[in-house]
Amino acid sequence: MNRFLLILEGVGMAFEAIRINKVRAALTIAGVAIGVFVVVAMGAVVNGIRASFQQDLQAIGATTFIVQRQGTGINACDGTDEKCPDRSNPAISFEEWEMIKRLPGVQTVIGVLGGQGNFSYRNSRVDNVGYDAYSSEWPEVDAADIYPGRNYTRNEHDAGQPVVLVNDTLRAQLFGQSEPVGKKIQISGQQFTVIGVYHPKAGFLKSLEGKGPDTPRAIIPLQSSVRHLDAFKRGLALLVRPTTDAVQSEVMDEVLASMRARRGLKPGDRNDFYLIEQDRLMDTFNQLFGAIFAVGLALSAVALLVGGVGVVAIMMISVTERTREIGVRKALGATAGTIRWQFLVEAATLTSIGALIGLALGALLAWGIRSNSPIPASLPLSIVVTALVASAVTGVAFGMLPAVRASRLDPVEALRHE
Amino acid sequence: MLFGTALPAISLVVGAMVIMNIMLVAVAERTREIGIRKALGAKRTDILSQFLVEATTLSVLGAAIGIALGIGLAELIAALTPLPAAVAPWSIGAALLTGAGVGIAAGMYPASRASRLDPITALRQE
Repeated sequence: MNRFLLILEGVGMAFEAIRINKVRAALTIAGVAIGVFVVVAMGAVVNGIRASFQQDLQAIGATTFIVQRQGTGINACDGTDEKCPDRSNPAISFEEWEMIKRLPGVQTVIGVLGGQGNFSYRNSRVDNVGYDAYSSEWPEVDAADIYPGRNYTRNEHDAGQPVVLVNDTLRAQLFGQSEPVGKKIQISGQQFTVIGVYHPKAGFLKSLEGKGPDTPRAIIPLQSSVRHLDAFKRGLALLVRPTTDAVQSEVMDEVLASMRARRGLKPGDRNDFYLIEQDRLMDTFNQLFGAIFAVGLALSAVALLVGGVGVVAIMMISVTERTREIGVRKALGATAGTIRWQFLVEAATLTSIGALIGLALGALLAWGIRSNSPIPASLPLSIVVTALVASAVTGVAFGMLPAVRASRLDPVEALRHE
Repeated sequence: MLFGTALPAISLVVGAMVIMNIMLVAVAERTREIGIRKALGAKRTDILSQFLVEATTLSVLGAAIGIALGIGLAELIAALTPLPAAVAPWSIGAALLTGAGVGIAAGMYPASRASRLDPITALRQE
């Protein structure tokens, strides 16, 4: 007989079986649905976190790379290894900054320092507020809007003027409802003038680092932070933005060669500084989070496995209950293959319905996460396809045992079965 | 925390649903047996506890197998990787308790359904 017709007939019989045993079928389907839901939700969140990280990277410009003193990621020095060679790396100096600015193919070089201070305005006081100290071109690498107010000019930066931009949270904590721009505030005892309020783009990783929009934070001209706040100059990092017509790798080679020449490194010496491009950052991210994600997906797959075991149990019972039916069908000429096919299709129908429900719930959750948190969770086609294939495989794999058992029944014995 | 507790807990919920399903089938299959027991004087609580004990036995057995697998996996990890994975003694007790809890939770509905069967209809069933 035609296989396609057999499938249709099998699906019809499966729905008949579901209709007769509503509670039983519902529980089985729900088990598979929960399994698929967890896998899909996990995948959507993983995908969202990765997309968010990519967004954070793209915010600083696709070809922008970082020059810094020490490496990042798993191989970076931590406090435990005193012999780590990066510890003896000299700091990136302001002179090297100036030198890189003049290299061909370089559009802008933005200096970055970080620090923290105690902010106060009249009676309001916010302690240990982290700030980013940037040179004046920072809007090119940080997708933040400034409103109300303005960014500082290059002259203000170079002269080390005591001006500061605050984010929304710090503005609310310092000024409440009153107008912030033009007000004089104290940062660790030094007087600064607020010239603007900035609204950072909420990346998930920025939030993890405590730089999200919910944390009070400020931006200060780099020179002013060095002059007035005693910022840690040895932590200087440079964001190098190549011109649009330059090739990133060539500019990186240029920077590498001029830094080595300036530091007098011989050809065999290792670099005592790091150039980090975004692919490298993405690699680091994948190294760090890949293992966690893999464990998460494996754990969620356990739920799907348990759901599959539920399918086996129910199909076994179904075969036992329908022994007589199988006997009649065999007596009327059904082959072992037809019977096997019938029960396989029934199992696959159960798991497919479960998978569709789980997929729908997962999509709903992804939508909920996307609209209520900075994680752009989404269901890419790959996850949808994986979930459907996984459920079909579950259905066939777990349906096989009961189906084979049904197909091997001896028709004479089966007909005699009460 | 999410990875450590929430995800395995979901597997437990699915496992509980499987047990409930099987117990519902068991109750349906043994309707006649329940009828006879009731006719011979079994009270509601007798039937209830019979099926509850059955469900709990199933899930505690499952917990025992799970503990054995967990210990095996921990040994394997400890042997093959630098991670000193080991099963804490208290977690064995916790796992058995969880197993029993899952069994009772999953068995409650089928057991109470069995205990409410009318002996006359139950006996008449084929």
